[in-house]
Order: sequence, then C-alpha cells, then structure tokens
Amino acid sequence: MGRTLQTTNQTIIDEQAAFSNFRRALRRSDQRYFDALFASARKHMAAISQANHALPLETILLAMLLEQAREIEALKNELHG
Amino acid sequence: MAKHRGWLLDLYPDEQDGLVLWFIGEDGSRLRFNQSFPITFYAAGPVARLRELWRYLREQTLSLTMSRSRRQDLFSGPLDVLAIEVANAALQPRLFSRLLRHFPDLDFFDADIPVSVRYAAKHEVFVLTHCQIETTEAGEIRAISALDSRWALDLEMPPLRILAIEPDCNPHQREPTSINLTIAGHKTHLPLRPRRQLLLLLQAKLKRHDPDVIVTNWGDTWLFPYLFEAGHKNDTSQFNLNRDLRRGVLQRRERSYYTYGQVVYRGNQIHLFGRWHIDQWNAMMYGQYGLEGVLEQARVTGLPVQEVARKSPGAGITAMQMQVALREEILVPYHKQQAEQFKSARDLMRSDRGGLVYQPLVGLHHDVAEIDFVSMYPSIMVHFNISPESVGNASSHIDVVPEIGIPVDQRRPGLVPKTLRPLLEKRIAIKERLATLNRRDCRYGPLKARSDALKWLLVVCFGYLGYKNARFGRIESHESVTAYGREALLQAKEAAEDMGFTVLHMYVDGLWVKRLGKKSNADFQPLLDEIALRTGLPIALEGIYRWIAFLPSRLDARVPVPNRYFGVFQDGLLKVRGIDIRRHDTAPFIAAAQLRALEQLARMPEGRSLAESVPLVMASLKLTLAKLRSGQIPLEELVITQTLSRPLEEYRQPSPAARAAQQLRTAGKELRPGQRVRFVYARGEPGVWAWDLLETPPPESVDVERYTDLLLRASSAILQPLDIGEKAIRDKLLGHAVQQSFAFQSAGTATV
Amino acid sequence: MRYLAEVTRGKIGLLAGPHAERAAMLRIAAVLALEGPVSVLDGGNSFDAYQVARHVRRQTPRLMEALDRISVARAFTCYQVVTLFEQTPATPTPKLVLDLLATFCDESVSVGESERLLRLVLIHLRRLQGNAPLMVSIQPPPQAERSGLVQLLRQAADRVYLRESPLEPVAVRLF
Repeated sequence: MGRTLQTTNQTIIDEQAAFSNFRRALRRSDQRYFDALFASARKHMAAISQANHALPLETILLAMLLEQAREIEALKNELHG
Repeated sequence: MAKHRGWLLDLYPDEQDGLVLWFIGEDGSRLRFNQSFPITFYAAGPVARLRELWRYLREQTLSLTMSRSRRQDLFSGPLDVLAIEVANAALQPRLFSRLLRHFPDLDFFDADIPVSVRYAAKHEVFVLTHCQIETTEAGEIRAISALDSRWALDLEMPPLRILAIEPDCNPHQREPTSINLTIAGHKTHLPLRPRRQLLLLLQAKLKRHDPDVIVTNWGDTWLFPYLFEAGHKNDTSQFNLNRDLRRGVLQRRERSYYTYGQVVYRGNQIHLFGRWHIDQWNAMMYGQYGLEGVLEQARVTGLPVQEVARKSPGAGITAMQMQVALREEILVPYHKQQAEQFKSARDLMRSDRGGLVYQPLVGLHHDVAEIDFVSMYPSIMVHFNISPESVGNASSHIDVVPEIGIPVDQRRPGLVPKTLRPLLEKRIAIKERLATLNRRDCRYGPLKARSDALKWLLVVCFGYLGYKNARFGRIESHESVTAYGREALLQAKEAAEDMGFTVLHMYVDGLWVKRLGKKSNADFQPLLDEIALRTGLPIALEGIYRWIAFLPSRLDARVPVPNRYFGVFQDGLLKVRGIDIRRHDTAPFIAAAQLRALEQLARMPEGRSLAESVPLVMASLKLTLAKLRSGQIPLEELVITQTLSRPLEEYRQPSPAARAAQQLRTAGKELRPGQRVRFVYARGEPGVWAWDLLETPPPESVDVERYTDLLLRASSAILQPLDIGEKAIRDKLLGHAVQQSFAFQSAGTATV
Repeated sequence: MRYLAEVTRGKIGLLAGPHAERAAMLRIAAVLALEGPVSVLDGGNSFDAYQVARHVRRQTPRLMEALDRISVARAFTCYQVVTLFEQTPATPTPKLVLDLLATFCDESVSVGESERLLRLVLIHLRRLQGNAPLMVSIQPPPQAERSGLVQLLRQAADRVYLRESPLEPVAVRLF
C-alpha cells in the first residue's frame, strides 16, 4: 500500500513552487536568497516531517529561521573571535 | 513395513499417487515414495448459498467429504464454515478454481496453500529435513518424523549431485553451437547438432549421473525449450529431464506484472519433478545468496526449492504465516479483505509516514561509529507484538503506539510476531557466529549466504504487513511499525546526545555518531547499552569508520541527501551508498574508475591527510579519460543496463532504454516491461546502440562526450568531500582534451 | 461547485474526470468540514490531507477542529472497497467516495468479478444515500472492456457531472 500523503521532500518542492510568482517578481540578485532559504530548510526535513504540522509551510519557515540563527551565531563567533 | 532414513528432496501432488516424495537415503540411494494426503479447505457465506454449494459438490465425480465446522477467523473470531476435504491433493486446485467461477460470492479459506507448506505444517518436514520414514512394501508412507529442526544452526546435509549446463554463448544474442556440461568436476562439451545425437548423449548423462540439481544458464528461456522442440522433431519423445519419468516437465509462460509500483518481468520457467532446475539467469534471488541461501529459504518457508529460486521472498513470508495459521487452526483467507478503520484527517497525517530520515552533516568526518538496530522492523513487530489482529484491539493489557496512539493487544503473541520470532532468532544466532569467523574461513561464505537469505525474508515481512494483497497485512499495523521505528531512532539520538556524541546522520534504522577521542569498540559500548536499554530493541555496532564522507545532492550542493556516502572502516573495508558504483545502470568502466579512486583514498595510512592521495587519484582518472577518448576502453565496458519500465507505446519521451528497445524491436527482438535493456551511448540519432543487436557498435560511433561527462560526474562524487569541485576536475583533467574534441566535432559538422 | 447544491440527502452525485476530480473532491471535503462532520472513503490512495488543510485554513483559523471532523478510511483492493462499504454506517454524515473505480481496474481481477463487486458496492451506496448526501468521484477506466463499470455507476447516480470544462468556483451553501 503506497503512502497517501506526499513526502516532506515533495511538500517542500510544492510550497516553493507555490511562490513561483513571488520569486519571478524578485530581482535576480534576490532570487538566489529565496532559493537559498528553501535549500536551508531542507537540512531539517526530518524535523519538518516529525512535526507533521497540518500546514507544513509554517514548519518550513521555522526551519529557515533556525538556519538563519545558526548563521548569525557563526558570523558573531567569527567577528568576536 | 520398511524403515528408511534420509533427507527430503522433493514433494509434489500427483493424480495417481496423491503425494509423491523423493528422498536421498543415508546410503546415497534416491527413493520415491507416495503418501495419501487429503486437502481440507473451507467456504463461508449465507446458509442458502452454502447449501447450494453442498449440492453442487455432491454432483462432482471426484472423491470428497463435506462437513459443517466452526473455525477461527483471525479477525472476527469463530465462523461457521463448510469443510471440504478432497482425497487427492492433486485435484484440489482445479476444484477450487471451478468453485470460484460458480460461487464467487462465497468466502473461501485455506483454499490456495501450497502442498509443501501444508506438509511442513503437519509433519515439520521441510526440504532437506533429515527424516525417519516407515513405508509399506508398495512404497506408501505410513509414518514420517523429522530428525532435525529447520531452526537448528548446524544441519547434517547429504551431498547433492549437481549438473551444470550452459550454452557456449548468450542465446539471446547469438545462436549457440554447443553446450558445456559439468558434473563432479568433469567437463563435457556437446555440439547442438545433430540434435538427435545431442538428446541421446544428454539422456545418457542424466541416467549415468542422476543429478539432484540441474543448474543452467538460460535453461528456462532457451536451453530446455530448445531441447523439447528437438525432442518433438526427432521422435525422441522419451527424452525427459525429470527424475520422475512418469511426469512431463512443468512449463510456466513468461509474463510481466506490477508489484510495489514497479514492473517485474518473469521469464518462461521450467520446473522438474524429482530433481530441481535452477536457471541462474531467471532466478530472482539466486544471485543474492546462491544455492545455500535458496535452500535455507526453502527450509524455513516450506516452499519448493524451484519456487524459492525464482520468486521474491514475499512469497516465503506468506508461506511461513500460512504454516503458523494452519498449526493454530486459524483460517487463511483467499482474499484479503481487511479495510482500514476510519480515522480523522489529523490522525492520517500522524500515521501515514515512513521511517525517520535525517539529512547528514555533509563533508568528511573521522572516527565515526555506525550503529544499527538489528532487523529493526521485524524486531519491533516481535518486541511490541505488532500483528494485524493485535493492533487496534483494545483489551485489558495493551501497549499504546507512540505518536499515533492506537492500542496494541499484548495478551497473547500475534500471528506475525509468532512467525517472525524464530526467524529473527536464527538470523541473530548466525550473525553472532559469523562475527567469530574470519572472512576467509571456508565456513564463512555459506553461512553468510544463509544469513542473507534470512535477512531478505525479514526485510520483506515489513512490506508485507502493509501490502494490499498480503493475507495478514493491515495498514494500521504497518503504520504502527514505522511509528515505533521513528520513536526508537529519536530515543537513540537523545541517548547519543546525552552522552556527548554528535549525531552526523540517521537513516531509518541506523545512526552515525562521533565524539572527539572515541575510536575503539569499547568507547562506543556504553552508548550501545544505553540505546538498547531505552528502546528495548537489539542494537549492534556495524563498525567504526576511519573516515566517512557524506555527500550533498548532485543537483544542489547546498542540500544534503540521506544515504549517499562512502567511508572506510578501521579494518580497511569500504562501504559505499548512493553513488555510481552502487547503481545498476553505471557503465562498468565508470564503476571501475570510481572504485579505483575510492581504493586509492582508502589506502592512505592513518594519520596522513587524504588530500595527499589526490594527485594519485587524479593521475589514474586522467589515464582512464585518455583511454576513453582514444577508443581504448573495450566496448563491453561501456554498456549501460537499464530496466524497461513500461510498454514502448506508452513512452511519450522515450528514455535511452526505450530507444534501445525500439532498435531491438526493429531487429525483431521484442522486450517486455520489466526486462533489462543493454545499450551503448552513440552519437547522432537515436543516441543509443542496443547491445543485443547482432552487430556491435562501430567504435567510432561511441558518444565519447557523454561518457566523459559521466566519468567526470562519478569522479567529482569522490573528490567533492576533499573540496575539489566538478569544475576543478574538469579543468584539470580535460583542459587539453576538450579542445581536441571540439575540433573533431566541428570537422564532423562541416561534412554534413 | 453547482453540483454540491444539487446533491442532497437521498441523492448520489457522480463526478467523473481526469485524476478522478481529486482537487475538486478535496475542496468539497474542506468546505463540508467547515460546517460539520464528513466521511471520506478513499479508493484511490488520494486523500491528500495537506491540500485539504490549506483549503480549510483559508476559510477559518480553527483548522484542527475541521480536520478532526473529517473521517477517512482507505481501501487498496476492490475487495477491501466492498469491506469498507460494509463497515460504513448509514449516518446523516455526508460521504465522499474518492476515485471509486481505481482498484476495480486492476488487471489481476477479471472484468466479470470487478462488475460483481461493484454491484455489491451499489447496494451499499443505496443503503447510505437514504440518510446522507453522497458524492462519488471516478476516473473512467482506461480499458474499454471495463466501461461497464461506469455504466453501472451512471445508472445508480441521480446526477452525473462529466468534467470537460474547468469547474466553477466554490459556492458557500451546500446541503
């Protein structure tokens, strides 16, 4: 019996695709940040899946924030020392 | 009354003799006995319809007895049924198919259980079981008992007489002219013509050596059909490959079918009576674990050897469940009918999920331990009593499935755990013994094959819990297993982090961890103990890697992907997942180049930087590339093998495999979905050259650019963790060559 | 969604089209769940709860309550479909049957057998329709010899909607 719900991987692809108009209107220089955000969310697919939130986009956004926080901390560390 | 001792070789129903059994006697004789073995099956339904069935059966000419009975249904409890006992086992299948046509509305039970499985359930006698037999003078078995158990690790086995037959070339490519026979170390070479002589010589060989097993190459799809045809044409109709000369061979036609969302092709099959025929080219699992493994599977499942060699292990698991059901007098439904219970959309989101898969921390890591749950899903089924009848059954003594919260009845062991427990215990016992043996020990290979055969049974049994046609499958039990699996992996992660380890990767039933300064087995033992304690499941250290590299996605280097890595254990053994060498559709020379590069990295002594091996790796890749571009790679090393996933007409944009199949069709060779296509990438249209065409492609037609790309891609998978990207490799390896080939191509264009 | 207003208690609506009108059926499930309980019998492994959740969330912040009002059960063979109908009680809850014919087109089941089983399903559809509106979606079978299945359903249905043009937007009042 195949799974009924789509996989987390497919969910992220779909959510990203749902913003294709948004992405298109961005300057090309900004599009790459958009792509990078979604790429960073993919590092937490297990957590997104485990959260099994009815609106996966919310968890995807949280995963992006988490990666941002990590990056900020890394940069801070670099700056201070 | 005569007494015999020997090993069961073959067993099949027979219209004259009821059941025929062949034994290898302790004195080396081959014995044919028969036994009366009536078959009972059941029908349930509205009383009026059962009465009609009764009347219908009374009119039948075959010998049967009927009675009303009350039997146990796994799900609904006691059920009133009509029991139908057919005196001759050979006649039951035909009767049942007539009943299906006339009484499709009735529910049938125990109606399609293989005879060997029934026999195993009744007498505990399996293939190669050592038996004591009492027979009448006429050779009818009156009593039989097993002298050993299928669960025993060490079994005394009779030596089998094995005849190997192979044609002098692949008959699907070229017309063979002779066949080679090997038996007991002797080789014979027989020309295919004159055919009459071939048949006579072959029959004489069979008579003289009387083999128990005939192992062939293309026996199912070419050799035996060829011999039968020759037999017809040359009036040697007595030609018979069976040991039981009263029987003709059994031929099953080729077909393609869908399973697990995948097309599987099954070639024509030739089954023998009194001896086994195994076609190495048509034996699904034979390549995985050989005759040792096939025998192990036949023994634990009760299925005939010739079936096991050709079928997926799923059939084996079903057979084992049937045996448990027969012994416990639980009805085996003909159709699986259990539908899902209603659940809320929210619960569906919670439960409809697979194993937990983490994205690894991409890059190169040192001193990493891989820790695996041993046969995780089967262990969960046994440990938490997951069975179709126990899951969702709220009783006085339950366990609640994590995340999805459904109850699991714990009062008595379920049918599935009961089936699996001895299998799991045997696998673990074999694994433990393997761990004490040196890989070069002569006992290691056969034992490993048996271990693998059992592993496959365990692997598929989880899929079968959720498989739509599995008799004892049920989606809720399938979902419960994955839920327990996710929970166990999370508990393992927490245990590791509590103890200061970094978790690098987790994949369904395994985790990769490291901690500075920890590099011996003893260093990781406390973690193993802790995980076993928290989860209750058996856990093992797969090994400690000197180094391991987790790779990102090929399409997006920022995205880590699970289960794509390579590494070297402390004993020097390589482990590789998800890259070209592991794929079936990689050209052999590319797989070889990738393996060579990996071995060069693996040989780097401890304490030295892997980067030091880069010049060596580069030099060897450069050599391969030069060979490719100067046409020195043998053509067969360029062959790509892919599976045809659907009928040719259904391809909108034909894949390379489909284009190659199209070429074969034009040449008069038709392939079915699920069959493999071999081809070489060629220049121009259609971009491929089917390998099984009569002519091999001219060397100058090889699409060198395409192979260059494939090689560079395979190289970059290995070098990426050392911070050498595909572009750098391309520049380094191809700097000069690119220009050469551009010149070549433009010269080609000019002539068009 | 005109058909939603037409399919009321005692009526069977049949929606036929590509992908068994999955998107439309999921939207209907979402709209119904805003108001009360709804049962979904999924014959095509097609109940994408996430899509339903997105539709619901656009209408109400009380997402979880709505999702809890949807009961789903799946069947993966035509025999299981029959069992699923047998175990579905005739309650006033509206019922959606997704991709009913998917498993009836399985080549391992003969045409005659699939029609026999579908007739059993029809008996249950009639049993259920007395108490609640029923909407069935199908994708017409690709095999010509199985077109009898569609005929059987068409005869049983009170309204048949064959999708050729895009469906109109969601209407609010339903039953």
